[in-house]
Amino acid sequence: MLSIENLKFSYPSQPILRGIGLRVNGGEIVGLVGPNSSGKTTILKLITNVLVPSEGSINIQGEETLPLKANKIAKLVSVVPQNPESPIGITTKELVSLGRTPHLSLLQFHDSDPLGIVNNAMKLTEVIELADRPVAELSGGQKQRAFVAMAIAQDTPIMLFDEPTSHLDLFHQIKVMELIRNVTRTRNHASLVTMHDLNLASQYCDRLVLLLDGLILADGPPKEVLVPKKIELAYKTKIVITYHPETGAPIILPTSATIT
Amino acid sequence: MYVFYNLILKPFRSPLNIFSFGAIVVVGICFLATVIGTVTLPLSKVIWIICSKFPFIEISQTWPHSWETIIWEIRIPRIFLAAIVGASLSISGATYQGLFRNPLADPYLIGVSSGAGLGATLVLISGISSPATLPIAAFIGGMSAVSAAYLVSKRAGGVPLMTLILAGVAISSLAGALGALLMIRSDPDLRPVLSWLLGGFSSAQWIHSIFMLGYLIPSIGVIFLYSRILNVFQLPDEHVKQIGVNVERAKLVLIVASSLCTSAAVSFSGLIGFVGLIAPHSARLILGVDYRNIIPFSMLIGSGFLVISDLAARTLVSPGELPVGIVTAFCGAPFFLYLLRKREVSM
Repeated sequence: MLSIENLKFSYPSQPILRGIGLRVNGGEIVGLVGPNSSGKTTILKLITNVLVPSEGSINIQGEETLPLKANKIAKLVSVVPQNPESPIGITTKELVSLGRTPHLSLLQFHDSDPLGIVNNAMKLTEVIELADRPVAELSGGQKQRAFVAMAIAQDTPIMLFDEPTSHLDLFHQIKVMELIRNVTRTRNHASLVTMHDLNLASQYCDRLVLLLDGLILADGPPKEVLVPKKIELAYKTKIVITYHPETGAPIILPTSATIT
Repeated sequence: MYVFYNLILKPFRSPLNIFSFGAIVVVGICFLATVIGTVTLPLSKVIWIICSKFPFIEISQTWPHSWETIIWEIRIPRIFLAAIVGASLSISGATYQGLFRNPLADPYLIGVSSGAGLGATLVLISGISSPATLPIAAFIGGMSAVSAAYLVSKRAGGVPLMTLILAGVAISSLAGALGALLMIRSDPDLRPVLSWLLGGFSSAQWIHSIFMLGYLIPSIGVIFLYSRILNVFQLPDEHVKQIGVNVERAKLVLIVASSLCTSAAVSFSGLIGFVGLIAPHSARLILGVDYRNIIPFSMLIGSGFLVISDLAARTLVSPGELPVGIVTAFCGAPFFLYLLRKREVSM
């Protein structure tokens, strides 16, 4: 569904991505992991045409995205930003409705939403009972789900999540990850999720892509990526690996920092 | 005002009802303003006189001819212009507040006022001022200042709004300084310039309103179409793009539309402050944050407010007249401070 080839991007002062290639298929959750400033968020911005790559190509369902207009690309890719900010004073339902923007023309002044897409998105994310509450009054976890609902309402084959679980408590971390899994599986979406929490990524992602300094260090199922050699190289931290007693997913336990 | 709102408006709090109620109030205000003046005329005669102007209605004239002149040639054109100018300033104010995500934005934010002021000053002190040249010079001045601010801020990736505001501030200062310099170096009688700068409708004619409508109607159309996009604009810039809005086109379209109608308003009525700031805020206070409601309702409030202010301007010191800008500032500034204290509008 989503395929990226030889993607390069530089800021004037320094190169950020130095040739990235990756694929995400329908129904698959791919976790994008790596240390700070390894280029994770940059990849998401390139996929949505917020930034323009210096080289390489991005292809969604057989279509090159680079020449596409904002409106067209927003029908293919939706994003849940990191620490999303909501407009002042709007309600949850109004926020989720904003997700319909790319599907409306200028003349569609009011969206009657005949298919109930907005309502369905709110049901799926369990924010329907918060529909008329101002977003500003929601808790961190509820707010995150509201933004996920907005992305679902955008109704795109590809969904990008930028650190969806940072600053959430355990309950909401699991809730959001299960929501992502649920949406990805039932709708056959392709989901690309950047994450800092490797153990959470290990449990919920089908595949992990480990980035370091703008290059892909490893790409494969969690068991192949989360191995001491690679993690210690990427994070400069000594670790041991154990396995989740129930799911068998690899778990990382740091032992000491700064190895050289 | 808040008690009034809770008692009367809240039970019928659908935007359409509130809008209709507002429209009736504004029409009432306009009638009041037609009746009251240096000479106060009976309401019934006023209505007859207005009706007699409609085609196919024959009413025998039972009033002095001078009344007809007062109403049809002096008061109504003036009220009409005040209403249109109020609507123009308010729709631009609302647009800018939405576009710049800044509650302190007003229609003059990015340089229209000082540009127009410079244009008008140039014409007034160079002695080529006439009812025709003054508005043209002001209009050109206003549009040039905004265009300059826009072009200075333009980058390869688009126009950053914060840069645009700062460029607007800088260009405003520059134009203001040039205007001041011109005034100091010129003939000592600065009253025409000052009175233009403070704004007013004393020389209003039908033709002004017709010109204004030529700018206002297309601008309204465009801004109405984009009012849903203004809601999206309340998200951070990057997210707006990711949700499918052509951000740069929307900015350009909205800035052009609101600058056109602000420049047109300023060129016929001078610099009238506070309307474009207060009206969108009041609309937000009453109808909430949806720009599809704020845009039309702030136009209504702006028209009503400016017609009343003009009524006050021409009756308070009758037979003399105050610049309407002073009246709007006197009413508007305290009201704005009240809003800030009440914090009904989240900043």
